[in-house]
Amino acid sequence: MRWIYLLAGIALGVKILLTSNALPDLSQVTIVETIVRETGIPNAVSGIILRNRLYDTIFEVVVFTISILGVKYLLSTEQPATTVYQFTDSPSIVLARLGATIAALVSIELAIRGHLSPGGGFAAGVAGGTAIGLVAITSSTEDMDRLYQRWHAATWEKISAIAFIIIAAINLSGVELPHGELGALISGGFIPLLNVLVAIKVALGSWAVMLLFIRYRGLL
Amino acid sequence: MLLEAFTLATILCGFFAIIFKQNLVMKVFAMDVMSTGVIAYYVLIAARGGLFTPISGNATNNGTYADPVPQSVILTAIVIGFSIQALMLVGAMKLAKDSPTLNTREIEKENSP
Repeated sequence: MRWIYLLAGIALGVKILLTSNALPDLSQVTIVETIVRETGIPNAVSGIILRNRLYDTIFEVVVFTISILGVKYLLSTEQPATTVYQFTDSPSIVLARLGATIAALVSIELAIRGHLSPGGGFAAGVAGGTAIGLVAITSSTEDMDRLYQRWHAATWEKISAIAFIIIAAINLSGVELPHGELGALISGGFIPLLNVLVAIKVALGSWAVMLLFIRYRGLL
Repeated sequence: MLLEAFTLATILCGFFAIIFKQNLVMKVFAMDVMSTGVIAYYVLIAARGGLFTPISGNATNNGTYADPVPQSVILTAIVIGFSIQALMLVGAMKLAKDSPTLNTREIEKENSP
């Protein structure tokens, strides 16, 4: 049976490789220029995600939220790990803190300039999550938990998700802010705002997952 | 063509590993390999028309932009892949309580009536 699967899979691969999957010739339509004109921001990929495909992006955010809720739900019946392994030598701590600072700065840059340069909300959120993770592997679990509670991170995560959905719904119903000057920091209507909201959402979501894994698994 | 063959080989490697490996954690990793291959394939298709990053004002001396549509479509898959993986690893963790080997055959045998 394995051989039949193997042969069928290889045949499928060869078929995809040999049949032409050419796209229709769209060289008269300049996709990038069209999207830049429609959205008012230079970054066409961000423009597609946060304007032309905004309906899909809403559900992308919803799926991310639900999977974090699922991780929380599944882990809530587990026993917390008794020993948490951490880096305690000072070179690791210094390097991790330095990396966390750089990652946090990169995250902010990607979030607020995601509509002008490569980047955007999701990449910014992952960079922010990396920064928080680097701090989490070197500082004590209680401190991280206290920080998470004090800043009401779980609440902010939910607020940013709901705000994203509401703003996206307003945008989808046809209301649009003026585009402003192409290439300015505040331009492109709702897009910079949506980028920042997604960045907050993803960073806080990955922080929540990281805290859960550290609490129940020791260290990751 | 050669690059396409390599990305397809990556996708098929992941696919066969999902089917043939018995260990659940290996299956999760294999899914990650497969999704990496699929992302690479989309990026390759996007780069067919041109190689410049699709940001207005980026193309110099009459260069053409890469197609932004496949790139933005696959960005969804990256985020969803991350969340699905977190969820699957937690599921594997819960299963490891009862069957530490995480062998799919054994899990099925234990839980079948």
